Formats: sequence, structure tokens, C-alpha cells
Amino acid sequence: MTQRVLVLVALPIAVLSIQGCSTLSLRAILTRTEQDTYTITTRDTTHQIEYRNAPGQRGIIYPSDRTITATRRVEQYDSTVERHYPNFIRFGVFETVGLLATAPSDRGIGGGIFGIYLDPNEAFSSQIRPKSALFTGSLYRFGILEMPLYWFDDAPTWSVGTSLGEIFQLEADNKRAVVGAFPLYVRKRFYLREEIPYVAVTAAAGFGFLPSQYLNLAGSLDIGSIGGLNIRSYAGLLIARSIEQQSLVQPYLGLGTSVLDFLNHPRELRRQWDEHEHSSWNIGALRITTFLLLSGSPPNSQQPSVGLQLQVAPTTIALPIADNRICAGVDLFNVVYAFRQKQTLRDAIGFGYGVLPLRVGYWLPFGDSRLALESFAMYSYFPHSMWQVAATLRVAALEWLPVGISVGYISSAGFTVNRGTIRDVVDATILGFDIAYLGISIGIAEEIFRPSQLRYNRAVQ
Amino acid sequence: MAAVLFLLTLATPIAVWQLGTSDPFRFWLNEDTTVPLRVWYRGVRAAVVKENSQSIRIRGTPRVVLAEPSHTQFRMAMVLSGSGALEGIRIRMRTTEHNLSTNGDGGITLILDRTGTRIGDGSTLLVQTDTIRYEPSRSLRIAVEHEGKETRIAIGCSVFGPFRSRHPATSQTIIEPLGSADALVLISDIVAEGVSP
Repeated sequence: MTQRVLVLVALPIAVLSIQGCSTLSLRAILTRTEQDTYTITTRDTTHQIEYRNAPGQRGIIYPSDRTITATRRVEQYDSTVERHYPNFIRFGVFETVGLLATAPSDRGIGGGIFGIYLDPNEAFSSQIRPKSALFTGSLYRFGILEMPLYWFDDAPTWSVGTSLGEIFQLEADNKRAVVGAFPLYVRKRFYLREEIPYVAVTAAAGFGFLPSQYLNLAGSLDIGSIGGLNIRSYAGLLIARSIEQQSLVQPYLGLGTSVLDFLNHPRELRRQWDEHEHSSWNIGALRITTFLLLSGSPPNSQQPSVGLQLQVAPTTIALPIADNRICAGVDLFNVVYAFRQKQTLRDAIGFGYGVLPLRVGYWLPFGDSRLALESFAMYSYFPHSMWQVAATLRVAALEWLPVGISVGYISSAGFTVNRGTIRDVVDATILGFDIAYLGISIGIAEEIFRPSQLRYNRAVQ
Repeated sequence: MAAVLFLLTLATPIAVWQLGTSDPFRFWLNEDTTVPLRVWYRGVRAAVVKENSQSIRIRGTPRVVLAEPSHTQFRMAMVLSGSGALEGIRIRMRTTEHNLSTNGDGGITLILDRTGTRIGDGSTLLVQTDTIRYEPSRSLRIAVEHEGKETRIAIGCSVFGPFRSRHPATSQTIIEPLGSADALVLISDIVAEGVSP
């Protein structure tokens, strides 16, 4: 059954992804281009006067021979101006919601307040044991896209959208799981605050066709986006046939967050990309830092002592304090692999990961360039305690691929996993660690913004 | 049933892509000719209705752009008639909607209202007459020609110009009805041809 569901979900995604990559790039979907054509005409007239006096003395009143040549020239050249605008109301990479009251309290999946704080033994796994939890269920959405919808005599703030997939995990057991690939959603937003970060009440009706058939009626209070981050509280009703063909009518309440999730007010659709307001110093899909351990490597660890840090969806938001240099940030996940240690029975590794770790720091830009020094302290509180202090010099050397050099210190308390995906991948005893490092980082699909691009430094109406 | 659901799933992203857009483009006129005109405007969709392949009906005072994508030097003619709530019409040439809204570049402006006709280039008044004026229910033929730096404008049997302008020729002709939200204007027999490629 699970395989069938996976095939059903994967097939349309694959077909449309291939088609999408070949004919419509993501940029073409998200960007609208307007073109103005001009023809500039210049006219020029040249007068050439030629005197050809006859030789010899001809007297004072003898007529001189003069030839005037007037050359008229018309020069025309075309000039084409292209402007690029956002073409979407909402584009999001990942949304996660913790659902309340979707199952008896002893059958919850235990995803916590945002539905993503899963037990390390069960993270990324379909085998979840029922547990007593307040947030009994979770809702996950991937690849969200909303486009403006003009209907009801062009009533504003309607949108039509879809996502690559959404999963309603109502309880630990999969029998009542509802999964949709490319669900169709119609939404209407009522803005309570029309400045960034926007506050809106959203009414939504969604239809899922495969692999589950469902109707999702939901209302939400949305705050965001700012730096692609959002907070949403949900109330809804799910009428569905689950992936195991169990009929269900499930009201729910939820609290969620999303990353790399950008919302455009309708008026922003008429503002060129270049003129858009930004609230962050940087946003990215993935940041990879490889580092050399300066200290903290155990005596029998594999050499050379190199480690790796992965930050999924790193975001650094500028705060309007101290010339916007005080910043705060969050990652979706932060994974640190510090070292591997050979042991007799089973290897051990210095490994840690954090879910939605919090970061505060100081961002020092150099002029109005994309070169900046970020010094920060990051604290990861789940599933175990880990903190990091570091300073990184970042430069946007290539578009969407900034690089950096960093020096820092990471301390991890360590944690235990006995089963599940993390256990299988790590395949070693996990140790806590305290390391100092010197690293090189590269951002994947990451953008570093100039000071002049921050909305605090702009007077855009 | 499974096949239908599968097709619905596949159709959803395509439907979203087709239904949802922020593009102000609305429709084409003269789409079967060699010189089709692209009509676009921002705001309420129902404000402009395509009557037939050569006519549009405008309600209210939206800013409607007729664009001839392949030519910037062209002749265009149209027949204008309006309701009692319409005070007149303003036609802007040699500018673009973006230039107008962001830079205030009005290009060459023809204002035809109940007091008469005025043609201006920026702040310079080129022509003013009170003998040609807008009257409700009376049709007026307006023709314009842009070639090089020169623009000619004909209203009915009167020809004005050529006016030499510093503004470059553009592919857009911007029509702005004047009056209240109840104003109604029918622009019919819209035709265009390129003067030079």
C-alpha cells in the first residue's frame, strides 16, 4: 500500500517536474516580464559648401562658382526595455503545522508546537509510535504556489494555488493519514495589516484528488512573510478518504510555521523585482560548511579532522537596530558532523542536529557590497542542546552561490538514537563534542542582500 | 475513476498556471490580421469588454493600452462614441504606461472633451480648437500616424500636424476616458498598419 501511494505521488511530480524543467523554468513561472519598445529617430542635415574660383584676375564683381551640397540623414534605432515583476501571490518551499485535537491524546505523533519537533528515533521515518501529546497531528506542505485569481468581478486578494504535496498526519498511525499531490486550493485573504510583515485572515478551500480524496476547509491567521518566515494559526475541517481508504471528517486546530515562504501583497505584483523590499541580510536554500578542526578532535579520530555543517533554509533577518546590523535568524535544520572516532566494537561520531535553531548576531556589511562579516551565536534546543559561536566573512561571488570563510566554536551535548532513519544513516554511537573550527562555506540558492536593498533603507511607497 | 483522479491531479498545476496571473494583458484585437493589437489594462477586468475583433467598450475611467507589438511607427484609426456620463477622452502617444505612471512622461496628448480639442507635447500646447468637441452619441473618427519624429493626428476631416517631437515612437497608444465611473465609451473600427518596419 505504501509503495502504491509513493508511486502515485511520485509519478505526477516526476512528469510535471520534467515538463516544468524543460519548458518552464521556475523563474519563468515566478516572474512576469513586461516589454516596452521605442524607436528613437535622429535627423541630421549636413551642408557642404564648395567654392571653386576660376583662376586669374576676374574682377571684383565676377561671380564665384559655389556648390552647396545638403545631405539629409535620418537615423533610427530601436530600444527595448524589459521589466521583471513577481507573478505570484505566494511561493513557499516548506510549511509545517502542529495540529491539535486530531486524535486521542495518547495516539499523537508528538511533533510539538509546529509539528516538526519529532523524536530523533522517528524523524524522517514512517514508523511512529503513538505517544501522549498535546499536538497530536501534523500537516506538512511542500512547494507551495499561489497565483492571483481574478473572479467575482475582480474582487481583490483571491488566489488559486497548489503545492507539490501535502500530508495530514492526524495521528501516529498511518490509517488516517491523508496525502495529496497537487491539491487545488482557492484562497481569499483579508489583510489586517498591509505592511511587512503582513497580517491577514485567510479562508481556504482545498481539494485533493490523489492519492487521497479530500476537501479541506480552513481559516487561518497569518503573520508574514518576513525573510520568507511565517507564523500561521489554523482552524479547519478535513473531509477525506485516507490513504488506506478510511473515511473521516476531522475538525482541527493548528499552529504552524514556514520557511522560504514568500507572500506578495497584490500591489507588490506591480513592483519590479529590483525595487522590492527586503527584510533580510541573507536567505538561502542550503548552506554547506566544511571545516577543519582546530581543537576538540578526539585522539583516535580519523585524520584529517574535518567536519561538516549543513544548514537547511538559513535566514538572517535584519532588525532595525544599530543601522540594521543586529540580526536574528533561524534555520529549518542545522546538522553538524564533527568527527568520526574508530572504536573496537562500533565507531562513534561527533554529531548533532537542531530543528529550528535560533540565531542572533551582528552583520557588518562592507560598503554597499555583497561582502559582509557576520558574527553570531546560535542555540539549538531540540532534540538536544547545541550552541555555536562563529564569525563568517561572506561574499556573493557568484549569483545564488555565495562563499564564505568562518571560524567558530560548537558545543553539543549529544543525544541517543536507538532506531529510525537517523540511526541508520549515522550507524555509530553519537557523542557530544566541543570543537573549534576553521571552515569554508558555500550557499546553495542563497542570496546576500546589499544594505541599500533593505526596506529600512528605502523610501518605497 | 482512478484515471479521472489522476488526470485531475495532473491538470491542477496547469490550471493554476493558466488561471492565475498578474499579467495585465487581456486580449487581442485584429487577431486575424497581420497587425494584431494587444489590449491591456490594470484594475477591474470587467471595465473593458471586447465587443468584436475591432471594437472595445470601456466602462469607467481605466487606463487602457493598445499596443502594436511589432511596430512603433504606425497608423491607427478608430471611431469614438460615448455616453452622457463621458466628459471626453484623452489619448496619449509616444509614451508607455510604465513611463507615464513612474516618470510622468505623458508623451503627446490629445484631449477631446466637451469644450474642444487640445493637443500638447508635455507642457507645450500644440493645438487648441473649440470647433471639434466631444458630444454624446456622436461618432468621431480619430486617426494618428507616427513616423520618425513626426506625428499627425486627424479628427473627423481635420488634420493636425505633423508635430515634431522629442519623444521616441512607441508601440503603445494609451486611452483614458474622462468622466465619472458611469462613463461608457465605445471604440470601434480599430485598425492599424505599420508605416515602416
